[in-house]
Parts: sequence; C-alpha cells; structure tokens
Amino acid sequence: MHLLDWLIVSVYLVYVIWHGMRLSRNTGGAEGFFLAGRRLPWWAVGLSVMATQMSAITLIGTTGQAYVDGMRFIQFYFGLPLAMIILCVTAVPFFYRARVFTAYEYLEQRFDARTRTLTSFFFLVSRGLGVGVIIAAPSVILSIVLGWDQIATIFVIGLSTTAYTMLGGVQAVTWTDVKQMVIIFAGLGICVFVILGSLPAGVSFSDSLHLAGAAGKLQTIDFSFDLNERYTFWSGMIAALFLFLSYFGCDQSQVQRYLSARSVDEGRTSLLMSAFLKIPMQFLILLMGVLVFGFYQFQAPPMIFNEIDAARAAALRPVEYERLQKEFRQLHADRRDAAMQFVDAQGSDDESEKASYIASNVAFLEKRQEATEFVRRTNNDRAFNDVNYVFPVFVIQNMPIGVIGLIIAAILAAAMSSIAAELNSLATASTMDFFKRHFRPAATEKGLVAFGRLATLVWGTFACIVATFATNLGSLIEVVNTFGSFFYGSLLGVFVLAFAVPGARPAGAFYGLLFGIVSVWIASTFTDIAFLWFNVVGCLVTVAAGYVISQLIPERDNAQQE
Amino acid sequence: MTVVDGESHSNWWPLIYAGVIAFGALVIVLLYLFSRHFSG
Repeated sequence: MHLLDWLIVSVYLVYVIWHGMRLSRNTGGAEGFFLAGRRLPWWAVGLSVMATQMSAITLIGTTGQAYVDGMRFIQFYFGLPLAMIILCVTAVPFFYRARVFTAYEYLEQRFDARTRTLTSFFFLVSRGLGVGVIIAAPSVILSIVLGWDQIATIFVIGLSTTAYTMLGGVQAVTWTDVKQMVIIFAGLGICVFVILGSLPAGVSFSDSLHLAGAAGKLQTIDFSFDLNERYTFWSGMIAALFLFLSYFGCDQSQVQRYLSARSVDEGRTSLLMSAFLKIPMQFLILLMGVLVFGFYQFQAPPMIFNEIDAARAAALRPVEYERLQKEFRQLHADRRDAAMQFVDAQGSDDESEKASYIASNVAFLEKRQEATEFVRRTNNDRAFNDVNYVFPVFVIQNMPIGVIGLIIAAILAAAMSSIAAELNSLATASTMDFFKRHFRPAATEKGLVAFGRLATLVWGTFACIVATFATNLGSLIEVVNTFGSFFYGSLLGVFVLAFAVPGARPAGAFYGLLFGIVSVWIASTFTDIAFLWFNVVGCLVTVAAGYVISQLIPERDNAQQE
Repeated sequence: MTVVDGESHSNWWPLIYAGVIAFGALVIVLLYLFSRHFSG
C-alpha cells in the first residue's frame, strides 16, 4: 500500500476511536450507557441498524459472490420489508413499553426468570463466538491480500473497537456507526466510478451489463420452489422472513438499537429505513461485483484470488500449475475477443456473437473451476474457496492510490460497526440478565455502568482470542454459524409465544425452546434442506410444542408463578 | 394523532406499512425487468 493509503486508514482509525471516546463524557447512568437515555433520533438509529447488520464479510463476500455466482443472492433480502413491518407492529411497542434493557428481560415479565436466563445465555454464547468470527474473517483476508500480520490485524480491529465501545457505550456505537456508514457509502460510490472509468474504449456500462447478463450473472429471481436451493424467491420471502424476524426482533444486538430511539414511532421509523434501503443497497453492492466481472472481461484476472494458497499449490506441483495458468490465460484472451465482438454486435439481431461469447465464458469458467479443484487437491484443503478474496484483490491491483486506502477504511468501518454493536449488546445482556438479575439486584447505576464497561472489555478480549483460533480452524466458523442457526428460529418461536399466544405459559416457552432447538438439530442431521429453512422449522416447532405444553400443564405453572 | 400510555402516535402507520409493501413489490418487479432486459 502507498503511504497515502496508509495515511487514510490511520486517520480513519484514529478519528473513529477519538470520536467514540469523546462521547464517553455524556453516558450518565445505566440507561444512558446502555440505551443512550432513550433519546437517539430515528435516522441515527436506522443507520446503526444497517451498519450493525453489514459486517465486513457482507461487503467483501457479497461482491465476490456476485462475481462468481451472479446477483441471485439479492432474493435473500426479499422478506426483509415484511419482517420490518411485523416487528413495527409487535416487537417495537412491546419492548419499548415494557421499559426493558434487553429483549430477554421482556421474557421474564411475560414468562419467568429461567426462560430469560436460558435465551440470554444462548445469545451470549452464540454472539460471543460470532463476534470472534466477525473479527477473524476480514483480518484473514486483509492480512493475506495486504501482507499484514494476522494476529496484529485481529487485535487492532478488535481492541480499538472495544476501547470506544467500553468508554462511550451505545452512544459511541451509534454515532460512530453513522460516520462509518458514510465512509462505506463513499468508498463504494467512488469504487463504482473508478470501475466504470476503467472499461476499455467503446465498452459502455450498458455493454458491461449485457455481457454479465449473457453470462447469467444478472439472474435476480428464481421462482422455483426447492427446499435444498439456498437462494430462491420463496426462500427469501418465507425462510429469510423468519431469519429477519429473529435477527431484528429477538437478537439483542439489533433490539438494543431501536430501544435507544426517542419513542415507539421513532423506533419504528428506524426499522422502516432498512425496509426501504436494504434491497437497493444490497443491489448496489452486488452490482459492484458484477462490474468487477465486467472489468475482468478485458483485463486478465488472477486464476486464483487467494495468492498464498495459489503459491503453495504452485510450489508443490509447479509443472501442472504452470500448464493450468497458460491454458487459463489463453481462454481469457479468447473470451476477451468474444466479448469485444459481442459488444460490437449489440443492437443487431445476430445471436451468433452472443452464443460464441457464452461458449467462451463457459470454457473459461471451467478452467477456473479446474484450477480451484487443483488447489484443493494439492493443498489437501477441501474447504478452499477464494470468493471472499475477489473484491480485495481487485481493489489492491486495480484501484488508484488513495482510493485503495478509502476502501480498506470502508471494509474496516463495516467490520468495526458490527463488532461494536455486538460487544455493546453482549455487555448489556451480561450486566442486566446476569449481574443485576442474579448477583447484584441492588447494584447502583454507577456499579452497573462499571460492570458494563468491564463486560465490554472481557467480551472484546474473548472475541479477539476466538478470532485467533478461527483463522486456523475453518470448521470453527461452521460450528459458530450452525449454532446460531439452531438457536435463531427457536428463539423467534419463544417471542411468538410471548406476543401472540395469550395462553402460552412459562413451562411451554421454556420446553418449547428446547424442543425447537432439538428439531433443528434433527432437520440439519437427517435432511438436506438449506439452512435458511431451519429458522422456519425451529420457530414452528417451538410455537407448537410451547402451546401444547402450556395446555397440558397450565395449573402447575400458574401455581409456580404465584 | 392518538395517545397511548401517555405517548402520541401517528395515525398514518397503516398507510406507511402499505407504502413499504408497495415499494418492496415495485423493487422486486424492477429487479425482474432489469434481469430480463440484460439477460434476454
């Protein structure tokens, strides 16, 4: 990286930390530290909601996915507007009027302490490990692409975020989220302009899209109903709807955002901001991946984007690697010529140039697939996948000086905004659902804030340690994601029982949750359904089991409650 | 405006929700047309 890029990244880091720490003066008591005194404006909360959801891996992985797989991932977000409306009607007013600090605290008001403790415990375990993965993923990629030390990158990202979150609480998290979103949008916007300016003479934006369309990259909607297919219109509208309901309605990292809004109406408006902006924003991020695909029609891309793994495979079997490389370059040259002819033939009725381009693209992709398999086999790494390296490598190799620094800052901003919100929510759940509830019910406001700060530091350090292991253990990431998906749908089921089933009792909620988690485990072990559908299974089983159990043992429960 | 628990609320929410659904549907239709135009 050039000195100017380093300067931009350093200025970003120093500014964010300074800005976050500056807000530590205004935290006040527990409500001030954990909920900003419930006085944040809707637009700041709305940007914070979006920043929390968009981690660095969303930014990097989505562009890479569009490059490799096209834009069909957009369907994942189709259920989001509907989820936000349902939450505006149910969760926001329920939580806000209950004056709770955590979503799980509401479950104690509605059911009992054990349901609150169990759900909060699951949240702490899954999110605590999840933050480690959120730190690890961009750290691994940035360290490989930029040659940075992996452990140092993890601790710079993790501990700098911990510092301002610990001192400034939710105010620091929200206001830095706002600034970070501005940096992310600026980075993406400038990146799009630079890519468009890099297309060869005679090739327009529209031509680039036609090429992507011919290669099947712009297939945005698939109406087929297949439970094993991850991204279809129906998985987005139904299965992802359940995921979003659970994530935005039951996960403390998001609930805490809108609990800090000035009123129920402002909380609702902040969620509706995502309902309006999320799909267009995700479309733009995916479009950037498609534009990178267009760019690489005319410039030769690396055969393998992860240079370290490629070099390892090349060192182990140099002759075969060199042969693949040579064939790959030849096929790229053929595809480039076919692409130019296809562009020149735009507007004519002749379909032969299009067919020729499609054939050359298929041959090119098959060679890349062969190279990927070669790296997997040679390095004995069945999980090898370089999708997440596409965008960072493209930026480093093709963006001008200054823009590289801005985009690295945007990637760091995306990572830090998610990490901060999650550390903040982990600290809140630890303080309110465990420290205050079970150990120090009479704790003073000052004591709660002090414990909240300590919990932020502990969770931040824990997440960094998990991240150092996650970089070496690919399966750990899988375990964390699987654990999260086991829990999400079932947690949603408990809240459905709380909000919508008047006859639901504490025992029904508690055992219904356990039934839900077991049902997801069974579904994941004995079927091939895509993971998004686990949320539907977990939620429906929890609600059904919770309702039946509530009907079977209501009297005993009532006696216990009294 | 209506008042619930001492807090004033807009009466426009049902209309706003309808607007969100209409906007979401419009975006999906536009995406479909975009896909068809460039892939067709």
